[in-house]
Amino acid sequence: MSPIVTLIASFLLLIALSVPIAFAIGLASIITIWQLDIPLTSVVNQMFASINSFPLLAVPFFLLLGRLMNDGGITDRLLRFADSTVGHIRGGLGHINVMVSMMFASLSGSAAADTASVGAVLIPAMKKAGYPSPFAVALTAASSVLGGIIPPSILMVIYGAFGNVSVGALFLGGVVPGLLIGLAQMGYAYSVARRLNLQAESEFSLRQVARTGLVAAPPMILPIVVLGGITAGVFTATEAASVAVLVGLLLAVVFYRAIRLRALPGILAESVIAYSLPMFAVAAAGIMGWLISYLGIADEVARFILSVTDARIGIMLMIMAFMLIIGTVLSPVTAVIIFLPIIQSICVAADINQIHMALIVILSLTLGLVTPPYGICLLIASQIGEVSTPRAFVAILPLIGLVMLIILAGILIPDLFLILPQTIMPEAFGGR
Amino acid sequence: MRRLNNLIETLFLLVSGTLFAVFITTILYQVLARNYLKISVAWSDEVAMACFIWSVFLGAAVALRRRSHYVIEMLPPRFAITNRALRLFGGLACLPLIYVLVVHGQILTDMGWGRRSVSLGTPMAYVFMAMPIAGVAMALFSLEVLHEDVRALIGRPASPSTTAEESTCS
Amino acid sequence: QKLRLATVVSAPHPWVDAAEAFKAEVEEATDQRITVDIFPGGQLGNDQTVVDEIRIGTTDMIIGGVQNIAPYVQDFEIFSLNYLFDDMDAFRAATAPDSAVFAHFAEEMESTGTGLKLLALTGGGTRNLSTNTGPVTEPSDLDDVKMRITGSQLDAKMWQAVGALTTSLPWTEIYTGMQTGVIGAFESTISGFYSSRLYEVAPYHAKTEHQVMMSHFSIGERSFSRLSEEDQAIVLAAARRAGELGTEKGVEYDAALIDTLKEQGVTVTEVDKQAFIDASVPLHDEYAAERGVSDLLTLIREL
Ligand code: NA
Ligand code: NA
Repeated sequence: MSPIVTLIASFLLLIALSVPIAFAIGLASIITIWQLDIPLTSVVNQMFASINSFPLLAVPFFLLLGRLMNDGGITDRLLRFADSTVGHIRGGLGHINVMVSMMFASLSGSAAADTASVGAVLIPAMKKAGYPSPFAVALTAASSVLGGIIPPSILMVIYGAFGNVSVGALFLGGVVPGLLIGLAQMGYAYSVARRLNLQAESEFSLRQVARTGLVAAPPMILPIVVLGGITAGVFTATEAASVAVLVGLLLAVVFYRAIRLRALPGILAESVIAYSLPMFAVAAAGIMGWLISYLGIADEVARFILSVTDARIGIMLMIMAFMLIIGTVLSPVTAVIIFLPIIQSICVAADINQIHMALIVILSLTLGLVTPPYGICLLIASQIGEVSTPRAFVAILPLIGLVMLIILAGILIPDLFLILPQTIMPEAFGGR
Repeated sequence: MRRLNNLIETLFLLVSGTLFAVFITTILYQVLARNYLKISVAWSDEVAMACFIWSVFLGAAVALRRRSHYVIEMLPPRFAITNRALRLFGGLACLPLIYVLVVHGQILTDMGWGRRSVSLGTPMAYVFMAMPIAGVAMALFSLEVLHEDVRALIGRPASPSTTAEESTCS
Repeated sequence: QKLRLATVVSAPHPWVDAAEAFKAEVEEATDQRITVDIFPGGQLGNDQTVVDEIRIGTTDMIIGGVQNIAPYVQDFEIFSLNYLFDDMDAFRAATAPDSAVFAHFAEEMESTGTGLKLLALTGGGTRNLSTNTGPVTEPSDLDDVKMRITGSQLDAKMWQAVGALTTSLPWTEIYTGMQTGVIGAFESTISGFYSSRLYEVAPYHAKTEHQVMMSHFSIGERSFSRLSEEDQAIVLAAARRAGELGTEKGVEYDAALIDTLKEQGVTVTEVDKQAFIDASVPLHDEYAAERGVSDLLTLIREL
């Protein structure tokens, strides 16, 4: 049996047998390494290497922030305000969820952080408002992938840096698909609310808006601090997350006095458990990513794709399908770094625009964030919503379908995604 | 056994919570230093990353005892016996990675004495060490979890293990 | 026998050219007895991860910047000193396989027990300074400019000496950092500046030429000792020729890239180099004394 078959078959089998995902990735890799007859020390070396990454620090910060906002009574105040403003619209909380993610997306660049922070607030709220838990989890996870699509996006920066493609053009190219996905998800949230016949809870009252708004005003400095700080160049996204934690802490402990100082150590310790789960899975996935590179599987895929068809649309569809599959086991960043040389050589061979291809690849890979077995956003959201991953996956399928339709539209009508970067940054398209 | 594990869990929570506090403070200091104190800090990334990595492995060990690692459940709860058997199998399947964390984590740690961090020049062994140490704890926790699973499978459930959790995180 | 060669960059880059020349020569000279698999673009991980993989025994060879091997062999850190070499000829003399400098590092690599063997030293292009705060021609243009550096304390000192306010950021955060103003300056190879499209956010490029990227071409001791004596000689000779090629390709690429950058609208400035040198040289002696590498510094100065 070839090592790659061993790797994938044993991984799928172990997952099916309910082995914890991180340990299933680990064991499948151990079996493959054992078959290759190379030292097992690589396992620990790669586990270390994949979590030894500074941007990952934002995840614990936003998880803790969500926790502080909940325990500190900030969430309740924000939601009362949100309720008084859009609560009279059917599906209001669903709209807020998507809207917040779109705004968050234009702030951070990390989808996992969005899931953690928005999810910690809105999943419990949506459950309370009568949405089924799996739907609340699914909508939160699906909308948070906007973090990698609406600029700025960590993934796009890395794609641009490694792939010699204009990051500015990629950012501009992410705007239209990002907006389309957001609108589609809001439409879906509306239709679910209608089907469930969720009644609007409150009636609109300007006085109510003003009253809840006043109470909720202090936490509003959070997004202002984060957005203002990043755009003014005071700090990076990771640093902004730490400042947000400080502000959240001051609000919860000093301003609202909802959390006692004595309770803080416990909250910190429990937050560590909460972030160690996704991060340990990232560590394990790193082993598999390294094995895939090590075995040279990427080159085989390129040869295979070019042997099947040389039509542009056909190739792009195949790459989309391949990225959707790869995205289920690899984080988008790893996948981009591994497969970029192959993607780009295919682009040259088939005369496909690099920016067009980059956007298709990025959109397809980000869907991997919400698909099992290793969809970190879905895992985090399920964790927050206390829903099993399969149930959350069933609920998210229609939302995934919507995104896939938008990707397909982008493949068939290149101008849909490219018109913005092509108009504003024509130089990025010249000569390549 | 359980008493030892309780002790380890409490210790790990204490240490990892402290590490979390340290790396939040470090990053905040980095922002403060660069923008307001106008001094350059080179060590902050390294300290923050080391605390982060340690806390991830310690936290992952405690999560193993609490059975919180992500699992995909294929069968509905009514297949009780099959599910109990799968649970036992899942616990056993964790052992190879735990073995690698302990044994090869130790090998990597030994190698790490010769690799120094870029900024502070500290041996990376101090960071790599998190893996074998968490691995040993995972092994101890696994024994406890497996013991419970075996008893559940043969129909003699041990006294509920939730007591361990209550005693440490109230 | 198969040799896996990893490098963190992608073509076009002098290191990739060196790797490919090495592959061609070895495969031909050994009649395909030895084949070389090149893994460019950091496919097998960053330099330190790869070095550990070589020590573990899964990967055989690496071409990379010496600052990433300095965590294992501290003496390499000396190449992070700005203006260590007077000119390209001094650099060529240092990297020559029969030079005392090369011998020192080959010996150091062996005696520190890293498990790696130094095959050749090579170049990876010139390092320059880029900003978005305005053109830089003298050190005072950098006063209070927030500058991105790697985590190394030495880098920090070197740039603080010319007035910059240094901060460490990962390479991948430079683009957004420059865009938002977290930083206003950074230094990099010309090829890194071009290939990561950093000129989109840094319209000013100052030819400080403060470093020629000292790079190493190394093999795992275990992988090397597995080869027959005859093959070891072939590998050694091919690596040395590849090293020389890498240095020359670096010079060639840099010249072409500077022209391309100008075409892209980047303002390329010449700097008052002596002013930068004067600010840096005192740090050479200070550093050498502190680390006990004064002999090595003398060795390099005598080239
Ligand atoms: Na974003
Ligand atoms: Na959301």
